[in-house]
Amino acid sequence: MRVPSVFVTRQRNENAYRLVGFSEYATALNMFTKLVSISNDQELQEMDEMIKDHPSLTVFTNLSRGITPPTSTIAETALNQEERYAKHGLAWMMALARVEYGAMVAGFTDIENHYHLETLGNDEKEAFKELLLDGVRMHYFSMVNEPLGRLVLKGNAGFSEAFGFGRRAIMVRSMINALAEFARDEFNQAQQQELANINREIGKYADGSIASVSVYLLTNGVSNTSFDFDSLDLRGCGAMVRGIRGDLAAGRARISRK
Amino acid sequence: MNLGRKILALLLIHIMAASASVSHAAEVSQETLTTLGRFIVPSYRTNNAHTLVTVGSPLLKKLNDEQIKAVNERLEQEQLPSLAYMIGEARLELAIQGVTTGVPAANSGEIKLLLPVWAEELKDVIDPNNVPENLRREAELPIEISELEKVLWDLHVYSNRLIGMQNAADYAHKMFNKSRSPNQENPFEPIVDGLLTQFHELQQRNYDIRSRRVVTAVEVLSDEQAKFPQRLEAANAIKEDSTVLNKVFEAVDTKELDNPVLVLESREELSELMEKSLAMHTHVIEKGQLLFGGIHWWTRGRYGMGTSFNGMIKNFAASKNPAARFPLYMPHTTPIASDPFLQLEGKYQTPYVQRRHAVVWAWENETQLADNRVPIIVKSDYFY
Repeated sequence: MRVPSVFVTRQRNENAYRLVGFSEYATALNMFTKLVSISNDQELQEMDEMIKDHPSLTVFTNLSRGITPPTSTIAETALNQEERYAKHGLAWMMALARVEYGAMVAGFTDIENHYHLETLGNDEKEAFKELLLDGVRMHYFSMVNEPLGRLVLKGNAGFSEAFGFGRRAIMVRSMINALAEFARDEFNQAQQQELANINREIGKYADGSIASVSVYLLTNGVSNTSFDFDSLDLRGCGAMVRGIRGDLAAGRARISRK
Repeated sequence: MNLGRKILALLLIHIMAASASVSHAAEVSQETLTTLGRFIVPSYRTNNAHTLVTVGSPLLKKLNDEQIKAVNERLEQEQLPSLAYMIGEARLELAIQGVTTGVPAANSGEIKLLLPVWAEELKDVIDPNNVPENLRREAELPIEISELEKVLWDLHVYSNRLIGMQNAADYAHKMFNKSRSPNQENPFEPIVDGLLTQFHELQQRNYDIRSRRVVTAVEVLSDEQAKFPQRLEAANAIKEDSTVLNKVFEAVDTKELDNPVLVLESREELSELMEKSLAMHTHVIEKGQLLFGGIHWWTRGRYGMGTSFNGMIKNFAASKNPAARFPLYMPHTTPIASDPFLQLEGKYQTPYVQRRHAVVWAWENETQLADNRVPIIVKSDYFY
C-alpha cells in the first residue's frame, strides 16, 4: 500500500564525490602522507625548497582577519606589519588538503573520522591547527553577523537555508572538536573558554536549523502518524476492507513505513 | 450595402484580423517573460547549461517565428544574445561535458535554428594556427626535464580542449544528420575529420617529447653528482614516460604512429635503459611519483572547477561513476596564487575560492522534501 507523504530524503554519502576537492585533496593527502613516511629530514627539506619555487603552491592564511574582532582570544596576531600570510611547503599543502577534505566529510557524509588525525605528523600539526582555527573564525564570525543567521536562531529560516546553516554548524563543530583532540593543551584558559562558547553558540544554530525544518514539515507536510485513513484506497473483499478500516479507526491497526 | 462595399468591408475586417493576430503572436506572453526572467537569463549568466536547455528547449519549440523575434528583441534590450544562441551554446557545452541524457532532445525545428550557432562556434576549431607553437611537430624540443614538463603540460591542456571540441563537433554532426534533407552535405564533417588529424599530430608530439625526456632522465639518475630535487624530477619522468612509450612502440609496430624522435640508435636500446633505471632507482622513483603525483592532485583540488554551483560542484554522474569524478576545468596556464587581501587590477583572484569549505556548505544537494507515494505496511489483528 502506498500513501502520499512529505518527508526529508536521506543524504547519500556518495554525493560528497560531487564536491570539487573531495577526491582530489584526499588523494593528494594520501600520497603526501606516504611520502613523508618514507623520506628522511634532509629529503623533506629539499622537497620543501622545490615547493617554495612554485607560486601556485602558496597557501594564504588568516583569511578571517577582516571579520575577527580584535578582542577575540583566538585571533591570529601578525608578527610584523608586512606579514602577508603567504605560507609555503609540504606541511601547509597537507594541512590545507586535510582541512578541506575533513570539512567536506563532516558536512556531507555520516562518516565519523573527519580529519584522519591518526596520520597527522608533527611537522604538519602547527599548520593544521592554524588552518582549523582560521576556519572556525571564518565561519563563526560570519554566522553571527548574517541576517539569515538570526532567522535560523529563531527557527524561522526557509527549508534550504536551514539545511545549509545546519551543515555549516556541523562543519564548525567538527573543526572545534578536532582542535580539542590534538591541540587542547596549546590553548590558554581564555582561548579554551572562547572555543567552548563558540561551540555552544554553534549548537544554537544547529538547533535553530532543526526547528526551522520541523516547522516547515508541520506546516506543509504530513507526519507518519496523522493522515486521513478514509483516503486510503483499500481494495479487496468488502468485509475485509470494512474490518481493516474499523481497526484503523479504532487504533487497533499499526502502520509503519515499508 | 452593395456587393462592392460588402467586399471592401470584408477585406477591411480580414486585414484588421490579420493585423491583430500578427500583433498578438508577436507579443511576448507573461508566461514566457517569467520563464526568461526566472530561468533562461539567470542560467545563461551563471553558465548553467543544463537548466538553460531543460527550460529553453521546450520554450523554443512552443514559440512561432514572430514570437521568437519578439523574445530576441527583449533579450537584446538587456544586451543578451538571442534565445537560439543561448540554447545552442548550452547544448554544445553539455556535449563538451559528455552529458547526453537527462535533457530534452532537440527536434528538427529546434536543430534548424541552432545549426548556424554551432557552425559559428565551431568554425575555427581546426585552424592550425590555434595549435600552440611548442606543440607543433616541427618545433624544436627543449632539453631540460623541467622545460619538457612545461611542454607536456601545455599539451595536456590543449588535448583536453580538443576532446571537448570533438564532443561538440560530433554532436553537431549527429544533429545535422537528424534534420537534413537527402543529398545535403554535412558541414561539420570537415571539422570532425580535422580534429581527428589534430589529435593524431598531438599524440605524435607527445611521444617525441617523452622519448627525449626519458633519455635525459636516465642521464640525470645515473649522475651521482646530481642533486636530490633533480633526481626526483628525473625519477618521476622515467616512470611516467616508460609507461607511455611502451604503448608507443606497439602503435609504431601497427603503423598508427611514426617512430618518435629518438636520441638513441634504437628503441631496443631505449627500452633496455628504461628497465635498468627502473630497477636501480626504485626508492627515488617512488618518492618522485608520490611528490609530483600529490602535487598534481592538490593542484586539481585547489584550482579545479566543476560544472555547477559556480564551479564548486561536479556533474551529477560523479556521485555514481568513478570515471565521472575526474573531469575538471583547469587553468590553461600554471596559476600563481594571489593574495586575497590585495586588489588586483583587471585580473581575477586565483584560486577563485581560497577555502572551499567556506562556500560549499550552502550547496543544497539532495536533502530535500519529497512529495511522493511511499510504501507502508498495515498490521491488524483483523487479518487473522
